[in-house]
Amino acid sequence: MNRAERVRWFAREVLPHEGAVRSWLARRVRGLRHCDVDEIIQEAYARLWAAEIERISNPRAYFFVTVRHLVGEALRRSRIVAIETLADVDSLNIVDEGGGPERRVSGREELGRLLDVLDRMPRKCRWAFELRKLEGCSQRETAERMEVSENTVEKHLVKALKIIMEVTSATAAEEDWSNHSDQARRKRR
Amino acid sequence: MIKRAAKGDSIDSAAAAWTVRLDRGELSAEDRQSLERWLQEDQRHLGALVRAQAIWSDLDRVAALRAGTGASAAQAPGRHRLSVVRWALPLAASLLIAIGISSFYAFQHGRFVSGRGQVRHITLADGSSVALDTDSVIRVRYTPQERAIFLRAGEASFQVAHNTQRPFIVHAEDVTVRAVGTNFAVSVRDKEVQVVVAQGTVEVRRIHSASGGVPRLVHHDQQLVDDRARPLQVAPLQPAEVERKLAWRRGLLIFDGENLAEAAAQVNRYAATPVVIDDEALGSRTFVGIFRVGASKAFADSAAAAFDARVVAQGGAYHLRLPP
Repeated sequence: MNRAERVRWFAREVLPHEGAVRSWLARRVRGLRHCDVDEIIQEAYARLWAAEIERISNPRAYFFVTVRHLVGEALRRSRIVAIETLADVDSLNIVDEGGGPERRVSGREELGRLLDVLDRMPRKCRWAFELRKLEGCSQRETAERMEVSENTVEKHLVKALKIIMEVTSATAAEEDWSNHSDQARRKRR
Repeated sequence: MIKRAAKGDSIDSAAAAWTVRLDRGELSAEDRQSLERWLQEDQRHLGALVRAQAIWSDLDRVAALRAGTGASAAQAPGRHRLSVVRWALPLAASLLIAIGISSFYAFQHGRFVSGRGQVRHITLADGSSVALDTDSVIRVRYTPQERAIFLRAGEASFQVAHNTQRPFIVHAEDVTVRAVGTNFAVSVRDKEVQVVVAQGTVEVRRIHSASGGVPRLVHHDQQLVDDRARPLQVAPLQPAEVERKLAWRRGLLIFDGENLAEAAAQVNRYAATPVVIDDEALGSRTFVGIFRVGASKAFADSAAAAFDARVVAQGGAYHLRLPP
């Protein structure tokens, strides 16, 4: 697999599970100073990138296991005996957490999210993004169409991508929020 | 914690910047060095870059769900900058001014035509606005008693300014659609009239029917179909379906489980270069995606990517076929 193929593999096999991983993670490391969800996710991507991905038969499970190792490492480094968290990590049942395609967000939801994201982009940023991503113009063509420099197009696109990345993280945070409320309710009982 | 979060965020910013730079083409030697340095600073930088690139690449997928397993959305784009600019401007009126089309269309009588691939937004004298879908024709006749629109062909959607004294009536084939203040669309295709109501209620009657033109009420999130053969049919629609059916007003086509053949037929209504599906099995695959009207190439590429097909440009069309 070359680099571009590898990136597509990540888009297809890893990215769709990020929300579930984040929300699982956030529930377990909340309040632990040495575990930041964004950082662990970044580390997990780095580890997965280095892995022999051709041999990964269940990327979702692999993603969870990687994150679990990272949490374990972080906890050991911190020398904080967070017994509950560790126990929880050890009892993590990937099969239960895992799931097939039916666990993926539906195409309809994805479309809805994309439309929402477009609405959040500033005007020119959205225009650049649409030309590049939806119309398939190169950055140079986008610049010509917008009658601006390529550097300006690049700035707009970076902004668009950042908005999308934020939404990708925030979507997981919402899921986490609802899970958290469930937990809170259970505790009260 | 905040400090850490802020740090994570600045990594994401850098990752986004590198992703877009890489998307531009080959890196300069200087950039390559600088990227290497950044990657070596921290293992997480690589992870953030991979993630950013995955997200960027994911946007290229056409939003095609293979029979429900989950793919995502790419869109196709307005070939004209007009349509892109339009999105940002909520008011049709300011829109017309902004894009330099004469805004003096607001007279009471007139004929409005949209060409193939064109979606036109028109503001009428009373403040009502009309969106005209591709290849459509309306005639407007306002009198002190009545605001009459004649839909001659295609589809038009109306955001009606409220005025109980002066009803807003759309004539299409042998039905009339009467609204007081509402948001709805009427289409005529092969003599079949469809009415989709997004907001409020409209009253539909047949002019020449034996039933004496008993009106049918169509409420929001409902659709009425008049195929002439049967009585007027009213059916409920999901709000998402309404949005999808009216997405052309925003210059978009939204597909959600249509088969590829139907989706292509819709795309072709706007396209200068049509999409032809050579393979019957391919035509029956279901499809999810958002495209800009007129972007038939983007549609063909997306469908090809989703279903492992090929696009062959031939004889003024994009042919989609499965590899032998």
